[in-house]
Amino acid sequence: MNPLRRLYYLLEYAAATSLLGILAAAPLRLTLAVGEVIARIAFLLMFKRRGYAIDNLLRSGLTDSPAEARRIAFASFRTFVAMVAEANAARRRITDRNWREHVTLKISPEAEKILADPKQGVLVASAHFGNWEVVGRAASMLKPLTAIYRPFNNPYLDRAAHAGRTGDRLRLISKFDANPMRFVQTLARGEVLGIMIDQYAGPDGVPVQFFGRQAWTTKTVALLHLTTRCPLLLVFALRTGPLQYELHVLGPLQHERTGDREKDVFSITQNLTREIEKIVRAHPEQYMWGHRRWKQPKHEVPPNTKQA
Amino acid sequence: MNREQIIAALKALLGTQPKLKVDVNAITEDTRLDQMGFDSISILDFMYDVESKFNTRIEVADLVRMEVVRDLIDHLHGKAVR
Repeated sequence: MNPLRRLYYLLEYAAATSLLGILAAAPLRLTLAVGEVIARIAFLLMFKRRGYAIDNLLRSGLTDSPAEARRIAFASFRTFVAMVAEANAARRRITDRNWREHVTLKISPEAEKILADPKQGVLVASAHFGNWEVVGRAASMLKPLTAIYRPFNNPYLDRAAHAGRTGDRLRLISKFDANPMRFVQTLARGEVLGIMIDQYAGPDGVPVQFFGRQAWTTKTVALLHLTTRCPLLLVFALRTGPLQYELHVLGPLQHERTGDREKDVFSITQNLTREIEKIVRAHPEQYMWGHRRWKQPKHEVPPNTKQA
Repeated sequence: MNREQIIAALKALLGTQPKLKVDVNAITEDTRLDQMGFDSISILDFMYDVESKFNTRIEVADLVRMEVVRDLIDHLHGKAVR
């Protein structure tokens, strides 16, 4: 590694772990107050992310008012910072004994039965909504969970984040892990496999409609459901107050296999994305708008079309 | 369908996998599934196509036990080929 890059990574690691360590030990109200300041600074300085968020909101049709789009975008930044701060605090404060004091479970009897079966592998799709770190932590209290994640570029920070986010019942697998059977192995062990499905997936994905626009979305969940027949749930955590959440478990989603792989993959992925859109429409402030969800693969971009 | 016909059908399916890094003609019963260049998506594409082609169902527990092409052929030969 380039020595300058290594120095930068070490400084970034030291700053992040020091800040998060102090905030984890501090009273929650102080942590959230600091988070509020950080959100304001981030909204001011991260003009690129802010621009994506406002542009995404205007194009989504949720509002045609730039001022309202700016308001929701700022609320989205606040949600994100609160998510990081509370996820950090939750590692010490939310345990297997008290988690139900923090999380209200909204789940169908059918989904509850599936999660209670120790031999049944379960696929869980989720999105960057509310507090997705708490989704993993709370869902792992119901059944051991492995989540697929994208490692940080900074290897020191990645090791620290990995150690802080995992536990006895919660594991992480890098999306770059070379073993092609790793997801199926998790399901075969009777665990939950959690996958975020609302990020740009590139040309390997499937182009579904999200807020009326083409959004390239991972096929992994649909293909796993089709090949393993494991039940498929959509789970998200709505933040209702400081360290308070409603964990919504939707499904199991049903899909009859047709024999046409591409058609089945599209149908499942579109259904999941439609459900996510409903959730986001109901609570737009809790969605992470500042990413390029509607980015198009190079070969798909019509000339003179601005990407968002 | 005998074993030779099954492996020929599997090779034909593998030939439709654009990301596969291995020479389809070099595949034998001893070829390891994890050395054929599959990623986590293309292995699922392939398994979906195998199930459709052979009108069978491969359970998760069987799938994770398969190490070489022979294991897949055994499964198809023993259980599902019509």
